[in-house]
Amino acid sequence: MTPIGDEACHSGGRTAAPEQEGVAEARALERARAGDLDAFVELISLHDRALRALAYRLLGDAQRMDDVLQEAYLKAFRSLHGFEGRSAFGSWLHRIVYNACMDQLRRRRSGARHLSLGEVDALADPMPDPGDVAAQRLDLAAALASLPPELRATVLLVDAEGMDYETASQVLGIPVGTVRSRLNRARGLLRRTLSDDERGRDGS
Amino acid sequence: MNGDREHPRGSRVTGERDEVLGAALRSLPVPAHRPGFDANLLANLRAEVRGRDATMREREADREGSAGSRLAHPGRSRAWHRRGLTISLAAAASIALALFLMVANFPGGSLRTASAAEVRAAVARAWASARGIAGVLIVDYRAPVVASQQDGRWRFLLTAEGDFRLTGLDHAGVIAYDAKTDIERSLSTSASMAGSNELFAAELTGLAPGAPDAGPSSALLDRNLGSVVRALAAGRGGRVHEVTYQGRAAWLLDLKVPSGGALFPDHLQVTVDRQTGFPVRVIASQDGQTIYQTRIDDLTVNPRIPASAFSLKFPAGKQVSRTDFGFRHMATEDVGRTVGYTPVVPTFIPGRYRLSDVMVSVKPTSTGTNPSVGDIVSLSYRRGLDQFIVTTRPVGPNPKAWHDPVDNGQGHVQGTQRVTFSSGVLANKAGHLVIGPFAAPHIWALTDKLVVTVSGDLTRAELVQVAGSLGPLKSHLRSP
Repeated sequence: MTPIGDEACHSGGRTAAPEQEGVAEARALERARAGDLDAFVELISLHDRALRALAYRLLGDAQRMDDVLQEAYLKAFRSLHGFEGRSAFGSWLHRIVYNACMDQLRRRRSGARHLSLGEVDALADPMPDPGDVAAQRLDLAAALASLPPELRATVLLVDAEGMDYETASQVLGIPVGTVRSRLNRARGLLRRTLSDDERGRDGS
Repeated sequence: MNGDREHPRGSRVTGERDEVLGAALRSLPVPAHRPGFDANLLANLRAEVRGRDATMREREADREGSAGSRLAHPGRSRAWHRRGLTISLAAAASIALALFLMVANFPGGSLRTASAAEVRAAVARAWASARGIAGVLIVDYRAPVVASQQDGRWRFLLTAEGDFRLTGLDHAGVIAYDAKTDIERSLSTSASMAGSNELFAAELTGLAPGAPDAGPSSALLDRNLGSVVRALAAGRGGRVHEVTYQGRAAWLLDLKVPSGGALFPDHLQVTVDRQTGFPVRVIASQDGQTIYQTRIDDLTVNPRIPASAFSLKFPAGKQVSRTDFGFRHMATEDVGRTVGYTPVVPTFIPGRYRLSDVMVSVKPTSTGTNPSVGDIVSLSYRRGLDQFIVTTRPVGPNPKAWHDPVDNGQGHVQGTQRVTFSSGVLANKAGHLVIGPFAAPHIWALTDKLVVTVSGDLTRAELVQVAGSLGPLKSHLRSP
């Protein structure tokens, strides 16, 4: 069985997988539908890294990320019989995970708070290497975390995962025009926060 | 997005995506799952399946009892109808979802470049899942001395059972090995008779499944295909470029490898066909100079194979050189009685591997410079085109006389590490672990009475786990 979370696995967001990948995925789907759990885990593994990235950036917490992914993967397994697509499996899975994350965020809303950039530092990723690259990563992680989750998801799906607008709109359940406007806003906010932060660091 | 826009950090928005921002976002670390995540998910999934099974049984029972008991148990009938309604609604929802997905037909976006790890994983998956491959292998060495011996074009066919056939396309010669009969036949020119086109016929029988004992002559395929897959598996890092190779989408993985010596490359450029996950071209270089290039044309995965593909008829009257290496297929229950000791078998078998062959040789043979001994047991496990082999043989009176049985002296084996086992027959024994870019990964170790090897397509962790799980062969182990 392919271990979930194996970094050697395909990343998700692949909505136009090559024909062979689609065929392999379809076969795994058939086996998974027939109750082959290994096949289902294999399917999940193809997209797990991208889904971890999406869930972690949306929830800001590794523990919650795992909880939501457990729930979402189980939900996907239950819904497999209704899935007829082939190359769109990754998008379908993204949609399930995205919805599960948003549900989790909504459940937390009462206790939720909008994080400031300073607070977000505490959530930032561990930095394996010091220096500029790490500083930029920290800035970016913090700036990203400061965006509303809907904008975060949009910029992650389109810019990081390489989805086109149509696919992202299906995953997010919004019109293409909204994807476009969310992207504009997300990129604009990222630019502004990164620029502000850079000026602050330079003392200017 | 229309047009290009500058990003404050030098990013540019082109078309629909901000590529530089995307690359920066992808470089952000992502936490791994917590320990036990997989096990937890599997437990949940199993519970789900059990729950479904229970529901199915309940429905069956309902159906069987409904005809006779509906009138007597109207409440139950209503319950059944409620369940039926629920099922109908679920089915309708499923159909609606399916229709939605069909109509939505999620269009594909441009794909990001795969990581080196993803390409390696794709190759490993392809190798481990194929039932067979066919194509044309082209080998091109730059050094004239080597080229005269190695260069050529062969049509090849290789199956997951170990059968293979190689037919020379630019020279006379053919080799065919039938795994069922364990017979290899060949017609080939003599390397010592340069310029002569005379074909010599040879038949090899009693071949071992593979290293460390004499196995089928698949070295050409192993050197040019299997070793590439192993080099990819053993390597780390590397850069991936999206390319088109012979009109097909491919990944070009550019990676450094620890050189195995003067004749071995320190740099590989491996082109991997995206559709199949198989390497189709390798350019190997050392110090920036190309040493050799191999490529596969007309690659077919899981081809239809004629029944006669692995048998070779010699021309009538042809003199045939026959060699019997002494190995025989054997039922597992007969092994101990034949070799006079209790052989060891792994109780840990990595995923999807299956025992494919149990072979025994009572005929004394030697591996490399090691003592010549008989009573060898060789167990072959296969998974797609992957294979690993566990062997045992008597250590004899002089344990110190033993060196690495898998080291064939060709310089492939480097960087041996010592490992100590805590379980199985090797508990508290030191093993020698070899994982190199061009060597078959293996472990060898001595017990008080036996020399044990585990070699083949396994990761370091799997090798150690398999070796650490070796225990006495039990009668319940079924023959393949």
